[in-house]
Amino acid sequence: MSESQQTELEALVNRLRDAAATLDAEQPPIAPPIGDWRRQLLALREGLSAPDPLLDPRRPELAELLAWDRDAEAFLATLYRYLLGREIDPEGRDYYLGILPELGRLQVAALLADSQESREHCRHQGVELPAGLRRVIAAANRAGRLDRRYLPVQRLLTRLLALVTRWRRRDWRHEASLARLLAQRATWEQERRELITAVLEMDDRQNQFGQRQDHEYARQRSLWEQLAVLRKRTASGATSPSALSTAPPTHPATAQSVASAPPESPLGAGMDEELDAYYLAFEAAFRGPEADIASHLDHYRDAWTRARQAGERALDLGCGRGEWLRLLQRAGFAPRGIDLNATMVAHCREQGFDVAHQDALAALRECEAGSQALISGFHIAEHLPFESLFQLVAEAYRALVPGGVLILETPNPENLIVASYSFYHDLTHRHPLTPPTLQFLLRFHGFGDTAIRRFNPPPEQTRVPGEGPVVERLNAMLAAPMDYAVVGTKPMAGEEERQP
Amino acid sequence: MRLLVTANHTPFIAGGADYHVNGLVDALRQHGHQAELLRLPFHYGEAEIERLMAFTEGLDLRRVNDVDIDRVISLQFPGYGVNHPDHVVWLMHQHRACYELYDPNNASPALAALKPKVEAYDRHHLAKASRRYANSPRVAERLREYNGLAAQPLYHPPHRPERFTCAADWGYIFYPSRLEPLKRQALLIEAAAHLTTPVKLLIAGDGSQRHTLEAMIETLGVEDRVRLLGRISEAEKLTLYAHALAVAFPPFDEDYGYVTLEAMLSAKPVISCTDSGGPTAFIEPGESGWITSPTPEALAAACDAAWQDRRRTAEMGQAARAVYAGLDIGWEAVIETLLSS
Repeated sequence: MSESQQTELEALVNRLRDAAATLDAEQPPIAPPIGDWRRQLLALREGLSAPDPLLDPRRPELAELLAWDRDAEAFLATLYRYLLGREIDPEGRDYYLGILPELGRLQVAALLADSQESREHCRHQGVELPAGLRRVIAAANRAGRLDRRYLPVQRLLTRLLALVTRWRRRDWRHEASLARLLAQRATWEQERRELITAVLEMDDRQNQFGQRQDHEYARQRSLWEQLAVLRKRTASGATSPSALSTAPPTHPATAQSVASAPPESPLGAGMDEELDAYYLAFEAAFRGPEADIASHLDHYRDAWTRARQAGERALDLGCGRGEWLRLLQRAGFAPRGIDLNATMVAHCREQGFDVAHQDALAALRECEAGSQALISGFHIAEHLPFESLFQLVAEAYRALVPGGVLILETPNPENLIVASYSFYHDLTHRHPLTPPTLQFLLRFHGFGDTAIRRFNPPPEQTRVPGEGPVVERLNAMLAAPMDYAVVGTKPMAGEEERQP
Repeated sequence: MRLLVTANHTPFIAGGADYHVNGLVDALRQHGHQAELLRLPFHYGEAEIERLMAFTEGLDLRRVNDVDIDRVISLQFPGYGVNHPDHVVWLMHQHRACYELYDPNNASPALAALKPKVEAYDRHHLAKASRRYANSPRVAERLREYNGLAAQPLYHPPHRPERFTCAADWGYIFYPSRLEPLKRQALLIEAAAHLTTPVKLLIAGDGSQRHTLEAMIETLGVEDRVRLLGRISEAEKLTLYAHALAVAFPPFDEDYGYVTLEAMLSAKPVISCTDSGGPTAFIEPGESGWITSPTPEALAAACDAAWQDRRRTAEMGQAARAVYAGLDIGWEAVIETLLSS
């Protein structure tokens, strides 16, 4: 009792570890933490109220400092900002506004620039005063201390500066406006660059959200499907098996990877899922385990080797359990698969393949012309009505790159047992397709080189023993290979097309 | 806004507090604020703690290097002692050794001497705060009980709550936590000996009690019931929650407890104890979980009850998830509350 329970506990823990391992691979794409764009935008907003910039704050132009295109307060604020490195205080403003009418802007600028505070600020920040202002300061210093402005020499200087101002003021105003415009343009360019960067970053994030949303949508979809099955089970009164029974674990992640938007079914979601599950079991029972199929697919080595020279994109229609996708991946393709069976799709995705839950024709129509190197359909042709098959070959031709290869494999009715019996194992088969018919269809649509390849001879005991023409004839019918494929190559440009 | 968040720093000891502190700073930044974290090195030992209290009290954060700080948000003792006129305290916990964990019979003289100082510190500085919030109702209750101060509980979400899901129950009860005495894994292991149903107990985490608990499992002969899983990955944690029958969370006087919230997010009922603190505020006994007396027998009875009526247990889990959804727990709400003026 205790012994068996301990192994039960062991089994439970292992089962949980397995489930966790699938979850690891199933993690949705996570958007990185919000980037710098928010901070960037906030900084730009702060900048909206920033004062008028100078073209080069380290080498202010005289016209920029005199700011004749602005009023007296703006002029003083500019001087404080760029010569003292701080915002103007109310006392300073009142004082200078008081002496400004008498001294004029030039002399006030010189007065401020020559102050202890300004000299220190300029030395620290490496600000170089404009030559004009330096001359005014020198002149004023020669004339005596600037603030003892009642000296006659001083008054002379003031009058001289007023004269110069009257003469130059117009030019200074224009120069100041121009410099301001140029400086603003530089700022705007800088801001424009930052805005673009921020928008791009947001766009990037938007993409991540989009991916995440797709993932969540798929997940939600699968949860609905699970729910439908559970409801059905509850309704039919079935009891759930003991949680610790040794039944094979139902992977919780399996259904998480179902594709988006499968076609609506009149049967309802529960029935669909059951049919899908039936088909998966049927495949396993009648087409052999995945490994056997994989070795069969190896027969196409020359076909895919040829296709690989035309490109690396491959599309497998009705990819089933993904054996062919695995093989193509090893052969260096970037394969994609589609299947209408949600369980198969989930199975493939669990193995990390790029597989969509989609109709073959729709998938082909979505392909760009000349985009695929290899298109394959294993045992799908016999499921399609003729019109669909006809369009499928046409669309495949369009989607292939010149030199690309189409493979269509189907049961071989040359084998009498296949034609009259085993073909009908699968209730979704329509009718057998003979090799010449299928080959003709490919040629009709323009495939140049089309070859018929036959595989899978029946077991030896199927053969009628003995020799002679009758026996040979019988064996040709009974022991012919059970599957065949038409392998068509789209002609390279210049090669002859349409040769039915 | 220019914000400073204060918290403690205990090098190389990571825990829920780190997630909480960093989560807050990240959320503030994402809301467009300039937020920085000021971490005070916290060392155990009464003398160290006293030194840190004095240091913290001396910090003036109104204007640091000519930069104005608009508001300070403090999360831990003794960070809430810094000086700022607009100081919001969102209390994670006080210095627990001087309060609910204080035992006058076993306290060292140094601790006994520290206790009144810490109490005075808390009374003085917490009373000064412009607003007080608590991590959980239990933390608010302690503050009222020990310091006579009111605080409003303010919840924050566990790490990435959207990842938690519910899946088929595989018949076990899950308890993730560090293996420490206060978490009382021992109580659950003792309970295993009293179980009458085949329910299993899976305990995840690592810590100082690992060897003690392992020995205990062996002595009680419950190897077939209980498994210590050790440290687990995030994916394992999510899976273990998803497939659990119920979640056990019987610590002693927990502050907040992410385990409760994570269980609720995974639609699992929680088994907790009357003296478990934080969790009890979220569990409605009989509706979304069990709150038993802290004895092995009572815990075992709750585990058995969860096993016996599994349909009812699943319903209770769904009820727990609904409770969580109704609480509107998120960083959005936290930021809005902390930054309201």
